[in-house]
This record gives sequence, structure tokens and C-alpha cells, in this order.
Amino acid sequence: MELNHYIQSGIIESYVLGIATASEMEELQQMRRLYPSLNAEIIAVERRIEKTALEEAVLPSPYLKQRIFQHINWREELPPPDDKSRYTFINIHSKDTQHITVHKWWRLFFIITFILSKICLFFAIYFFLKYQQSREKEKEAEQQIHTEQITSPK
Amino acid sequence: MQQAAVHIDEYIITERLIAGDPVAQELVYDYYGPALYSIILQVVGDTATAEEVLTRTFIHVFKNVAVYKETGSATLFGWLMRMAREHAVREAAAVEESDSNSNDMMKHDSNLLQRFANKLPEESRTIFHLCYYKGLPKEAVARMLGAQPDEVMTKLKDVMVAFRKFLGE
Repeated sequence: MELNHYIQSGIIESYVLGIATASEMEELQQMRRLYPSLNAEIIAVERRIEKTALEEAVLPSPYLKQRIFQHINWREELPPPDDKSRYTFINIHSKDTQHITVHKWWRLFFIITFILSKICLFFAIYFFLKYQQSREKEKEAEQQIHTEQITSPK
Repeated sequence: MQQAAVHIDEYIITERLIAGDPVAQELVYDYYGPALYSIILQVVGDTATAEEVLTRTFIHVFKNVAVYKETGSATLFGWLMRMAREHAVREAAAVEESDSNSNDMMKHDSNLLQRFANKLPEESRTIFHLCYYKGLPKEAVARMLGAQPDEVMTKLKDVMVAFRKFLGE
């Protein structure tokens, strides 16, 4: 039987160990499609090696597990390349000590403060002139009273 | 070993691995990690390199677990084993390139494959060693041994037939 002859040729073992050539692999895949029962043979060989490998297992350093999973978790925490919403933008400025960066609301604040200061200045000047005017009137009045007192006969 | 008694449902575990479930990842590491480490150790020879290779293998496996389904691999362990060996061979070749004094014969003979290789005639053992542990293509093996590629192919086939018998024993 062709299938039996094929199985006995050691091709399955060669594939399982990873030493089959590309053409052998292709042939095996084709045979698997033709004879689905070949899968059972492959499974049997892999299970046989698995059983022995589990029995002959050697424990690696206990720290290795932590190292591997730390590495995997670190990779998983990285966002997928197309997810821009999770990017962190870092504003890198040249080291310029002469300039500062402020929020745009400060511009409005400065304009309002400037206008208010101008209004205050206007009122300050206005009331100062008013005050000066009233002082002069007062002085004038005082002087008038004084002259009247001198010139008036006793 | 107690590990062998634990049953892993491969279909469920694969689906969970594809979904990136950390519990499934830990389960697979705990169950198969030591077995894969042993396989890697056979190829690379020293524990520090083997741990490095195991790390890379698991990172690759968890990232590309969907490939396991796509390639139609029969069992999860079979795929994991091939991935581990592939990474180990690549690393061993890189280490060897930078360190010409590396010791090729540093292999634990308690391992299934080493026990099998030890039973082979010298020439077949060399071919198996170069193909499996060094990951060399048959043409390169033929050149190294001063033989024809067909000759190497035939000998390797005989080795695989012998391995089939060895597994059945």
C-alpha cells in the first residue's frame, strides 16, 4: 500500500524533527490532503516525542519565567501602531532660557489688564485735574476773602 | 513527572493564546517550558544561551500563535518543539561564528535524540548531528563530508526509518 510505504519511509519523523526539505514538506502536505489518516500518524509521532520530552524536561532558572512574562507584558503595553489616540506627544524645545511658554488664555488676560489700566489711568488723570481745578478755585476764593478783609474798613 | 498528568485541551488553549490570554500563556509556559528548555539545551550546550533561546522562543510563539493554526501543525507541542529547535540552531550558529572554540560534543546523553544518535553508525550519526543540531541543509552536509547530496539524502532517510523504529521500541 502506497500510504503505508510512505509512512514507513521516515518522512513523518523528518517533518516532526524539523529537518525535512521544502519539497518534502510540500509533498507531505499534499499527502495529508489525499490521506487524512496521515494526520493520525503525525499526531502519534508528536505525542510519543512529547511524552518523552515531558519526562526528560529540565527546569530552567525560576527567574526566567518572570523575565519572559515581563518582556511579553512590556510588549503588550505598547499601543498598536495605528492607534494615535494613545500616543504621548512630548514637546521638545531647544534649551532657550530667554523665552517662556504660557497658556493662550494669558493673552486675553493681558489685553483686559491693559484696557483696565488705561481706563484707570484716564480716571486718575481726570480726577487729578478735577482736584487741581477745585483746589485752585478754593485758593482763589480764600484769596478773595483775604483781600476783602484787608481792604474793608474797621 | 506530575506535569504529564495535567491535561491541556489544545483547541481551547490555542484559542486563548490567540486572544492573548495571560493565564493561557502561563499555563503553556509551565507545562511545556521545561521540555522545550531541555530540547534547546541539547542544541546550544550551555544554560545561559538556552535560557536566552527559550525567552525568544516563547516571545515568538505567543506573538505568532495564529501561524500554528494556519500551517496546519498536528499538535501544539510539535509546533513548539520545531520553533524551539529553529531558534536554538540559529543561536548556536551565531555563537559558533563568534566563538571558534565552542564545544560541539557537549550534549546530555540522557535525552531521547542523543540516546538515539549514540546508537547510530558513525557516519549516520555525523549526518544526523549536522542536520538536526546544526540545522545544515543536505547540500552543505554533502559538501562537508565530500559526498553527493543524494547519498546524504538516502542516509538521512535510513536514519529517520531507524528513528521511527527507535520510537516504537
